[in-house]
Amino acid sequence: MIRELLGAAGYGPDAGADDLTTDIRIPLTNDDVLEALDNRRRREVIRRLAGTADDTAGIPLGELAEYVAAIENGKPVEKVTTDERKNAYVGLYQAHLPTLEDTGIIAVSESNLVRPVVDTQELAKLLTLIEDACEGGDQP
Amino acid sequence: MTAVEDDGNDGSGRATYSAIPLAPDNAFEAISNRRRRRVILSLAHSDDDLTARELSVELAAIEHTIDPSAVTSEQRTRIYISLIQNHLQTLDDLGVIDYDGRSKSASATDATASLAEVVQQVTTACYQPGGDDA
Repeated sequence: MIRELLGAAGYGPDAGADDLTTDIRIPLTNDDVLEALDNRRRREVIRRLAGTADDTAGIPLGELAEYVAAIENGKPVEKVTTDERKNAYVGLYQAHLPTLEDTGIIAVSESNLVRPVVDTQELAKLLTLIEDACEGGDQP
Repeated sequence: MTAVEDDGNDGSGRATYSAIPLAPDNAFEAISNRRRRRVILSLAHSDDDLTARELSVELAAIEHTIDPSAVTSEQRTRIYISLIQNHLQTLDDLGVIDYDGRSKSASATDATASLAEVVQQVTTACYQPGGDDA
């Protein structure tokens, strides 16, 4: 199913059905990857980092918090309230960024700049494929 | 014969595939734990129901990389308890397996096989050693 999706999404080889390995390679254990993906905020952080090309300086934590809050509350970033942003900020700071650091996906600097340590585009590709394959209802 | 209806094509020109009948949150939660992944794989590959005891022997053998016949009762019991107190009910709640807490017997649902496939694909994509084998 994943490989058909890959093909349909244009990632896979046309003459089909090579497995995922030829397309997605992640230098982490499956334990770490699947732990990291088991939370929507962490998934959104990975997606946000994947959208940033070679940003060596990293993304400020506050910006990540706004991005996550906007998605959670289904509104544009400009409309995110202070409480919504703060809620996401605390969750990221206290729980999710440490988990993503422990699993070897990101590094957080002393000035709270977040940068990827592995190729987050590969991770984002993987998580989007799994989400797209899920047909059992929407995200809460 | 009339037109071929069921040719593995959904009519859009793309091959059909087996979707996962779960919400993404449930799917990710189910496969985030190593023992739960192993249960999913075992049930997906089994034609019959599996009891918690059978699963615990299988998981113990894999975790200790020994033959199932060499699993000690202590090794088996530790896993058995985590399965019946936690993982089997969690997987049932998520819709990934059917688990009967009275008979302590687990069976596949229509989500089991597709999720097992995801586990195997992720495991193949991840090339850092130290994870579990699918």
